[in-house]
Amino acid sequence: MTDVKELRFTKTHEWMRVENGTAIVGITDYAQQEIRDIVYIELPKIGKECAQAAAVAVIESVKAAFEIYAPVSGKVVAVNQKAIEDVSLVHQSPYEEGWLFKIEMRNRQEADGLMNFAQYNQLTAQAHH
Amino acid sequence: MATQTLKRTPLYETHQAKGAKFVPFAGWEMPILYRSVLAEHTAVRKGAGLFDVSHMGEFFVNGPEATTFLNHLLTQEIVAPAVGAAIYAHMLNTNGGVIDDLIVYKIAEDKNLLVVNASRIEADWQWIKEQAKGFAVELQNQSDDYGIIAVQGPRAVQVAAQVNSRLSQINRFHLAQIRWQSHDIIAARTGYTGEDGFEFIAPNEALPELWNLLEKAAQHCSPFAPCGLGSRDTLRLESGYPLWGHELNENITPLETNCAWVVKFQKHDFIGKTALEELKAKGIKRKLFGFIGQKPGPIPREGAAILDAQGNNAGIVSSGGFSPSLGKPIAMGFLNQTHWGSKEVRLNIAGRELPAHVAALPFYKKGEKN
Repeated sequence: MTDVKELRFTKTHEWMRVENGTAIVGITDYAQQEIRDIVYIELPKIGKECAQAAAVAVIESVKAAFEIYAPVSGKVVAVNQKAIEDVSLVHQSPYEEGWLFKIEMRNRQEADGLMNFAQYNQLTAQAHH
Repeated sequence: MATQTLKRTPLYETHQAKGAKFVPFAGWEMPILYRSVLAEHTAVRKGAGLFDVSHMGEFFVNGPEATTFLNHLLTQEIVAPAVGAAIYAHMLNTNGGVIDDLIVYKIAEDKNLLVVNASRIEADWQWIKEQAKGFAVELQNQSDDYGIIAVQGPRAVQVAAQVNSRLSQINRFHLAQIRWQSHDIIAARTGYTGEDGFEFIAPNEALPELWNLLEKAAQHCSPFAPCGLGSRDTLRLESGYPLWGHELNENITPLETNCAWVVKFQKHDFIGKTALEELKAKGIKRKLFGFIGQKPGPIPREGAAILDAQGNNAGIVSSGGFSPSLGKPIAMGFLNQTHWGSKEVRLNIAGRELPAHVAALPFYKKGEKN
């Protein structure tokens, strides 16, 4: 079971977890609830180089398309094919089975600039109407 | 800059108590969903769903010349003996463009209720008042006094019958005037979902208790869900029903859509008839088609370009989304005459492409294997 305290978060509601220099990325529980009714997920091609905060994936709900941004720069080394085939995984297990892609990090210090769980919670508490 | 306050229907507190997520729509604060658009859509296809559509407009057109006036105003044949009928019609401008699509509920020989789109209440009212000059009719805009609750789905009629047992005897596109808890209510077997069901057109005071009764009556009927505008849109899109502002507007004629049947050319006269006859003679230049995605995404949206295999412009998407019943992206859109023979197209959504095949409307037909 993921300990969310080990994750890092972006302002755009992605989470990441580092394993041996590779960042595993997904969207947060807050994000999946806001998006509601995911019907399509488009993930980057393996080998794609991305800059931090670049739009690399798209999640579509019934009503709208949402860009997903790379929390750190690097090369995409894996994508979650299971999530593409069963988009409900992102709703049911946003931090585990619903992971989206993995980035081989170019600069580990980029992760230091991201929010921790407590800070992310504050962000979403303020945003919530 | 002062923002205009959104209007709320008499069921606002009911929706709030159910945890509805609200969005602005046509100047109203309406539920877009309660739990999930997909779950609510499925409830309507498999059991029953409850909708608050009180934002729509209600006009009474009464008097000795009411039927004559409506036949002049609308494309449809409004026949005086058809008391108790609900007639879907278009109201055109003199160019044949659609001012609104609406339903006429014929309550009596000289009494008709028109239910119109929420976004068109003011435009419709002004037009109708202007066109009624010279006719012996009495017009009443009761949009602020009436609301509508729709119960839709294969089990919806059973649910509706618990309000009044007479309702199971009413045929599709017909209505009954019922008295419920000292309120006069029109119960019509109509809807916008492609499923069977009833729409209860009632005075504001009746709505909260009527909603509660219908919800209680639906408890045993599973799946059941209160439904927001999100599923209302996915349901009507699957059913190939037009939405004013998308498939219909003042610059689109019924002849270019799948609603050409509402135009009764055999009528002596109606507003827009001459323009439509000219158009029929010249030939229409664009036509509404359905499109089914050949990949799971991207999801087509209004305004997306329709291209042919060579990348040439073939038309434009008027409504798009995901079809839960088909499990595929779908869209309705206008194809230019040059491309009416197309079987395959590419929908271009802001640079992202979805290959699609051209399909007849509707995408979904109740009771059939879809």
